[in-house]
Amino acid sequence: MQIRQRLTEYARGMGFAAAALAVLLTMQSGAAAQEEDQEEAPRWVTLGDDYMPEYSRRGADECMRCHGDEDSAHLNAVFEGPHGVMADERTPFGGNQCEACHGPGGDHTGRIGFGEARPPMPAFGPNSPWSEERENQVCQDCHKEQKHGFWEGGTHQRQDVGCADCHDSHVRRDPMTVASTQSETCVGCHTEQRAQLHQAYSHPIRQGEMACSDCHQPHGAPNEAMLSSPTINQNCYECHAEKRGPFLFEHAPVAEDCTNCHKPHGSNNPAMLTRRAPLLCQQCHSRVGHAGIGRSPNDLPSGNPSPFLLSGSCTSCHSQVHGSNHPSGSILNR
Amino acid sequence: MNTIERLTHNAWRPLLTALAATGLVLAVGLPVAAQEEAEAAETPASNAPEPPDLSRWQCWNCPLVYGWRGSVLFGAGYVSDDYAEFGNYRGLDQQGFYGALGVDLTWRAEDARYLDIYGERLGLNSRTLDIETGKQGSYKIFLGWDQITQHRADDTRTPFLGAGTSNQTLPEGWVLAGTTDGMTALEENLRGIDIERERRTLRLGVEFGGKSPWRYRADVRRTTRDGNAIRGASFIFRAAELAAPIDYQTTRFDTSIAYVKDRWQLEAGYNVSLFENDNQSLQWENPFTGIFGAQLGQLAEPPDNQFHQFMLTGSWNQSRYLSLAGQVAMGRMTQDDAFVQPTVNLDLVNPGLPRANLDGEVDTRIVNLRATSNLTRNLRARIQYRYDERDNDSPRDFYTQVITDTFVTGEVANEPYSFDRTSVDASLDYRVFSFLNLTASAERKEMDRTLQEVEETTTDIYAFQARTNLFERLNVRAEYKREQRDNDLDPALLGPEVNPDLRRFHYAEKDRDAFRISADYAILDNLFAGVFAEIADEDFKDVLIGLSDARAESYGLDLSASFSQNVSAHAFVVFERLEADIRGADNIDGATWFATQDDEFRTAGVGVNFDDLPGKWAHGAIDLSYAAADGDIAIDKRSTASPEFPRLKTRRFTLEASLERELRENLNLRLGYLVGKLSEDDFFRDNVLPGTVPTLLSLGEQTPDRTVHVVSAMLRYRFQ
Repeated sequence: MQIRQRLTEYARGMGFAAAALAVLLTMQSGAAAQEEDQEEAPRWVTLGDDYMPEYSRRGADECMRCHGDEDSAHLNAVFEGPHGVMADERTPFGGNQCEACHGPGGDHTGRIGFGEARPPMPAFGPNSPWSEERENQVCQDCHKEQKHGFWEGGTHQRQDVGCADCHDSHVRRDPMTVASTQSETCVGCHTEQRAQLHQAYSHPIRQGEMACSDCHQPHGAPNEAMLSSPTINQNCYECHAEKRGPFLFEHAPVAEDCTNCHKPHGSNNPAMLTRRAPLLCQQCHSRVGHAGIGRSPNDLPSGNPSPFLLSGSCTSCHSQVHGSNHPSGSILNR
Repeated sequence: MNTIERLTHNAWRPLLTALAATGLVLAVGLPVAAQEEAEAAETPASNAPEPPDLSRWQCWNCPLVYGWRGSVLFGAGYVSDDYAEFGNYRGLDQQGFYGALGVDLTWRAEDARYLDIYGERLGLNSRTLDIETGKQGSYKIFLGWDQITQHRADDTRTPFLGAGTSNQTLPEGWVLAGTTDGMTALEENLRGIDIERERRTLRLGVEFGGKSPWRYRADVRRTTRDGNAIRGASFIFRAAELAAPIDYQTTRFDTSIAYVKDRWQLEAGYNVSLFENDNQSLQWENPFTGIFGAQLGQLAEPPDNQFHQFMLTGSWNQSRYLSLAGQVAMGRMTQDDAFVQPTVNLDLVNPGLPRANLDGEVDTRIVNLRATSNLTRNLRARIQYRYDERDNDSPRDFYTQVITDTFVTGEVANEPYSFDRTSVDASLDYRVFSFLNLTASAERKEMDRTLQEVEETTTDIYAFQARTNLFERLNVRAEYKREQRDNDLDPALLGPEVNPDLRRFHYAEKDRDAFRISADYAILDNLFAGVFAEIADEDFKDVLIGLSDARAESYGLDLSASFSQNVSAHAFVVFERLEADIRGADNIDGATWFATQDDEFRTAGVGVNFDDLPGKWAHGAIDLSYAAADGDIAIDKRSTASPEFPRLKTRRFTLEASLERELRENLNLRLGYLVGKLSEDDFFRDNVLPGTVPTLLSLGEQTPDRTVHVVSAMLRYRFQ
């Protein structure tokens, strides 16, 4: 590729990014102007994570005086879900009720003077002062299972993702626990993957048959790409065990890494391949005989239709690309 | 090199590096930690409030829910056309009516016992049903059923009798010929064979936990796959595409015991995966005029295999200054399916086999470790170490090759492939200001392989990231990553018949640069925007034959808005381009060519959701997505004038809408509409009918270009 062409395309990419940034900054300046006349910050803002008022006097009964009406019906769905089980001492309603997660609510439920702003709950509410890290700690105080033990140092933790960014605790069934709804949350941030899932060949995620967590462990697994299994190939073999072997005649790149040839989030090529055969194969195979011959449009049906190009191309003969257990299968065609 | 040597030579070096780095972190971090803890000790007592008097917290006003909650959905739908590609994974592949059934129910008792039932698409053959019961905080038992159908094509045709089975024969009166145009009985004997398969998984599991720090879990899954897949079957330079049988069963058993404390936890797990294939081989009659008596061919089917793995995982949060997490796994893959004969050609003498089966055995050893330290409030460090070994102990023998059941050639030794790879990476996150975070990381990867022309590759990766929220509503992230890979290539190991200039892309020396910038902006309190741009460029150095350059760029914008508590909307658009340059040669001493494959993707979507609107409209949604892709392949063969390849195109448009209205207190009516339009232009398949290619008897799969509409009417009964 010509250097000039590359530079031009880099410049275009940078230009796009700069333009987008400029647009955002322009919009930001408007928003910032509206915020110039801010009053002096109240104490819960200045205290941040150290904001720790007293607990309320009567717990959830006090909360329900204001949040028990129809407008709060979406909040009260917590009583239909696993967090609202009083008989389970591990859950919020087996203990400090609303304040188990939202923090002590003495200030929020206490009396306020005329014209005063009502202090927020410390966590998980409008204007709550606790940081995302502190809020995450609230969740982790109870959710200590193994998969959550990897959170510290994981990619999501390092990128300041909060538990509440993905999970909804005020519902009977958290959408993150259902295959058909989970991906909507994930692709909210992973926009490229959302686009790839719509490509012609992809795993059945957009159809709701697979969840992102079938392959990934989003709470910070210490392996590559936070996969559910320790390695990429083990992850793939979970569903494609027939590819595992060991075979008599192996195809080394297959045993090494499935993503050498496949794009797991989607592709425009059948079988989610990175490229079309024969070019896919010719990236690695050039030898005496037919393997290295460059196939041209003369090999199309309009010319001299060639099996080396059309339909399955190389795999029309070498169909055992994942390995062969045939004693005569050294070239993966038996 | 044996395992111990490899471990000594490769694994310990990075491990020692990691340990040294961890020691460095500790050496720096622990004094800082001690100092901060000492400072903390001098400050007044914690500001934690007095624990509440829970005897007064009666929760009288809490709307606690016992009994059934949720809903059952039932009704019917209609699919306007047969359309395999549209029905793929959806179960909506056939024209006509279907039953629609869904369930989302929970039953709870006051003593924390519960029963949870969730099922989708139960009236279709792509469906899922999960049932879970137990006592929350003590134990749970779950049972799951998942069924997925995959429809690839419904226009494929074959003359073979027994298509989709392990024995495929030609019809009576078949006329053998050297090329398909001489197969005069082909057209009259073509029969339709849909290419499809189904995956059914039954899952049963139990978990015990509760107040005790011990956790126990056992889970067994049985997956059955049946149907067929396209597989090429060849004789010298003649091939036929077969609908090969899929009759697979995989049984997976996972069990674990864990000990969970506040600051640390340890879990020991044992995983077993057993794969069984009902078909050991696939036999077919040669539809071409066979030479040397090659009338029958045989392919080996994937052999039965087993995988056993013991895994230890754990984490320890000593304090905010030190967290450790990791997993160690030791596994073994085995395979001892009996070999088929080297040939089924009765005119040839079957060569002897050195053994009756491979007796294959591959040991896997995996270590993933991570240490994290918040050295100060503003400085955070992380070190990771990974080791992944595939030690193939399968016996190596010489096997006389019978090429495509046609003629006997020399002996070839199998090549049990082994590798080990290690990586160590260290990163530092520094909060420079409250609005600016900087991250720098460095990683080294080493990979050692056996029986390849490259035995060792070394990759260094450096990355820098800046994150800023200088303005309250705006978050910006920018990241640059540089990757350099070197190898110890020995071209002599490529072999005498391989082009000496070949450099395989996954071993080749390369430089890769990637830059990404993204921003999230809260335009208004209820309107959010995100943009990103990413460019990556891979330059495979020293490549005269093989993949020489690859490049990817993508740009995207997404918007989300909530107009009220009950109405939300989203939209996105993404552009992606992938380019690759591939250099080849028609033979090994010149005659080079240069090819490119450029793929361009444009994807967009918009959706609106609402709940509980006035007028008893309980729910509504409309979701539209459009995905278009263009692929251009070009080849320059020594400036020979040549027509261009047609453009590869896919266009996918999907609109899904639903509307739900309350009919009475517990009953809703749900109307649904789904329209899908998929079209493709693919010169690899278009106009390639079973007899189009003289030396390939294909299944004649064509690209789709159809539209299908699905309407449904359902009632939702709500338990409340």
